[in-house]
Amino acid sequence: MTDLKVLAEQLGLDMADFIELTQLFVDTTQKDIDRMEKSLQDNDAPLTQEVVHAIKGAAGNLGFTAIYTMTLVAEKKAAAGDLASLRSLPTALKRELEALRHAL
Amino acid sequence: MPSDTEPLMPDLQDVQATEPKGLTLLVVDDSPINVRLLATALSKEGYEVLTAENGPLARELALKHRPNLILLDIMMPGEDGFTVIRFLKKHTATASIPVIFLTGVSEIESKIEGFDLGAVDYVIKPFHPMEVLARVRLHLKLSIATNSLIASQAQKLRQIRKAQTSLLVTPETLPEARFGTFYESLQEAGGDFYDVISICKDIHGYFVADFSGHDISTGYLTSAIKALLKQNCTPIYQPGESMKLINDVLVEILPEGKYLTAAYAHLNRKTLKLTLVNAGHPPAVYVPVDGPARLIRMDGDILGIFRDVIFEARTLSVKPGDRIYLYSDGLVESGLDRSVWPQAAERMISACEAVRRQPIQAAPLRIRNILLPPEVPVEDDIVILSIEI
Repeated sequence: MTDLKVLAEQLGLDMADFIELTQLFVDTTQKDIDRMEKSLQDNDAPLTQEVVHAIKGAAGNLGFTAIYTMTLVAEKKAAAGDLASLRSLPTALKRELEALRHAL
Repeated sequence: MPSDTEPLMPDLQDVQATEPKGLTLLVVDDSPINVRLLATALSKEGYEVLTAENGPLARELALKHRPNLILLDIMMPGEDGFTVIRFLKKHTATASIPVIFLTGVSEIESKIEGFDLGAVDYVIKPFHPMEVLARVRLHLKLSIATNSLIASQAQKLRQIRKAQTSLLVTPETLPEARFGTFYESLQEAGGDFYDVISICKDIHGYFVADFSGHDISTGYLTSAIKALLKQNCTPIYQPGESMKLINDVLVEILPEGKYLTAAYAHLNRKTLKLTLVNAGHPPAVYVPVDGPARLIRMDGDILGIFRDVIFEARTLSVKPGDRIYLYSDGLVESGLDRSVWPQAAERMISACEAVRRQPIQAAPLRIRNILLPPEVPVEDDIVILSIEI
């Protein structure tokens, strides 16, 4: 269970600000996941890499380590053109987003 | 001379420093979350934060608001951070704004490119807002200190210009020398200089010089030249001898690589003899009262480099009403045609003809306006000295 209060303290932010940022992250990442599902379907490695990169950056900065770690590995795979091993990534990310929604 | 209320060299604390308040930051990142995170963290610390999610908007906001510091993401779709910083560094309004790049840990190579392009620092993603804040504070402090130093130096240069200008004799203070001047210095410490010396009753010396470079030493050297003219342009010496003596001192005192070109006119109104001495300077223009204007072309070494120098001196018999014009190369080298003075000086002749009937004090400004209309960019200092026999 992600403890938003701890993460907010770690970043030196007020809880209200951090909740707002987390909400923004959930909404943005949901759209990114939709784009990623499409790019994977199209076997579009550069676009997949771009989307994964965007999620990774935001997750890393907010301290969502599970998502950050997943996308860190995935970005390297996408850069190498290995999209086959990324088929399960959208589902895994959705699961993490769902956990965040619950924490909000 | 400086007035009582404006000291020539005030203490440093009198120079106004940039007030460290109302500081504006521009955050540029294609990730709306990163933008919001930084904006939230930085605005809590009292900064006004502008945000942009792409390069074109970043450029527009930077030009419009001139923020005190920019946090710039390198990897952005479309226009990346490198393109943005290249633009910022090319424009005067934004060139001095410190830019901190936001970059992924894998983008080591791009860091070097970013520093080459003028970034002051990097923040590695993922970043902690407090680390970003610490770097922002550090670079704002450096930027404010640098700007303060620049302001202080500019202030000092302005004072030097004031001191330099105060050394320039005006027609009103020496009416018997019957001369007019136009003097325009592009930079704070001008590279051109003129002086008019009263050698004795009916004899005057007229001197126009152009220093190489416009650095701060020029300001101090003009006062040295003025003193040398006073010491060496006396009834004891022929005009050529005076220039030779001045050259010998200048060889000793000028910084390495520094020199000057000069024209010297020695006029005896009693004998109606005018002696011209040239030291690598544009040719004087002679406008006889009853004949066409012409250049007095002469050879001569420059001043301040060589001990063994040769200055050509020429003596003309003149009549009351004749005129002589001495000037610096900025007058004829500037302009659209990029011509150099041996050719462009010919244009001086027609300009001097055109002002033949103007009062001697008004003639220099008229010549300047004929040769350099307002639409022509002025690229160097300009001095024109008109003398009437």
